[in-house]
Amino acid sequence: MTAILIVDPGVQSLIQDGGRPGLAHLGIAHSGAYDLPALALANALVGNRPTAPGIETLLGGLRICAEDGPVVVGISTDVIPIQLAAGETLRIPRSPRPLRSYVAIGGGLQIDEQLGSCSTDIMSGIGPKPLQAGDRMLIRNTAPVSSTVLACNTAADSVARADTNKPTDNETLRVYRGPEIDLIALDLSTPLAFTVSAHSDRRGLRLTGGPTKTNSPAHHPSQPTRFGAVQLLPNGDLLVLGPDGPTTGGYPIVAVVVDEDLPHLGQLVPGSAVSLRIENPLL
Amino acid sequence: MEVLPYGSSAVLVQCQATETLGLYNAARAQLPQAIDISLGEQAVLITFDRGQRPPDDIRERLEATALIAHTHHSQRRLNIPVTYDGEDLEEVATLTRLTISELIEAHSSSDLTVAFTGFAPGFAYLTGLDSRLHLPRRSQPRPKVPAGSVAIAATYSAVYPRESPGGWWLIGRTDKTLFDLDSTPPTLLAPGAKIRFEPVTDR
Repeated sequence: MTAILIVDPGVQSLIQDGGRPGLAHLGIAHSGAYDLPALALANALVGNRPTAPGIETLLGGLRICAEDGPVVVGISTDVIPIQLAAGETLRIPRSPRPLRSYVAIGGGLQIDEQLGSCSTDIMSGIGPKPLQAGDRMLIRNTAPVSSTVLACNTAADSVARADTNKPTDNETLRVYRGPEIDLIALDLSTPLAFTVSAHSDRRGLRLTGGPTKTNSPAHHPSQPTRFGAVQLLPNGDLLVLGPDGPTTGGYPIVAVVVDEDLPHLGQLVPGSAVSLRIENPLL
Repeated sequence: MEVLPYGSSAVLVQCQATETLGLYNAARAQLPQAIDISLGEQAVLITFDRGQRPPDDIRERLEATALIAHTHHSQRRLNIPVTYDGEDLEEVATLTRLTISELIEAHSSSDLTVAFTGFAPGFAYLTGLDSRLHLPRRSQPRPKVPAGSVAIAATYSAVYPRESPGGWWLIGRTDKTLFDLDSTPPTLLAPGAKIRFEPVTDR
């Protein structure tokens, strides 16, 4: 059975799949790929199912080596897969955009599930540990991916394009009103502008420098939350909960990101501008 | 109860604290297509598949069954043995003006219910705590609370399922495993379960 070897995980590389839904009532986050369509794209390149476990890598820099060949690799920023011969190394270029890219291996990675998923939940430590240099992962089935894969680059041709997919210097996120929207005493007909803070990760994205102030009540009950819920913090910043965010929270929820824009949350680069546009689902 | 949209594919049902478990059970019975149904202090969150709009008649469906569901919900009963030697035991006794034995008696003689979980996997908020034990959280949270610590804060008691930071008052500890990734379900305490703490007597 062939395997891939992590030569260098870069800043952070995690195994992610479709996550572990259905356990929020036990305090266990959904987790899973931050940008699910990007994981699906990488998987599609190598003929895997959309939520097969792949590597979610932050800011590039990941280097993997095929122990035996050939290994077919799909990268979310590429349009065709790459074929690695035995001993060949592939490197994802360091780049802030996209913030997260996904690497899928043809045939699928063989990783033990925990609670029905291979995803690493950084908040609770469920799932595999973050990848480290020297980690070795077996490939499930190296046989006939080629039936769906029409053409391959070799590692040498691969540009693994430092991407132009989402050149978003000012992303607008569409949000629905949250239960405590009234705490934002602002004109909601124009988008609310913020800056993405460096204190952002899979638990949540912190948005600073915006127009929101807190008139929040001293005590707020702990209420159930989910990926995409927007909390208003005591200093007026917003915290948009990520896939590994807590399942309950004691800050008011002023908005919730619409499903279509959830994947963008995983790609918002710290320091960049982001606006929230409030939509009313009932109108 | 109030049913509010919560993003494109979820609704938040806001209600009284005493209604959450009934609504939770009603939602589980009435909305099998929901992928996640979770609880907080005064709300139930019902999440559907991404891109799927929640049904329009959630309110009606929940109203029809909430009352029945509340009286018939699963009555899982569990005793948790506790050694009452927590770091904060004496301070809690002072603050509540109880003797240590009165404190232990107050904590171990009530039937508690898992109202909801959160904060960490398997961390269950237990309601029904004797009102003499209601205390605000500690002003200084501890960076590390050992797994199995039995604690109180506000109107709740809880057992820390794993080592974590924490701001609750530590009154004892249990050897019972509350979180095990290899079990199904992985947590011992699910919403609605009835709990009683049992003092372990000195050998």
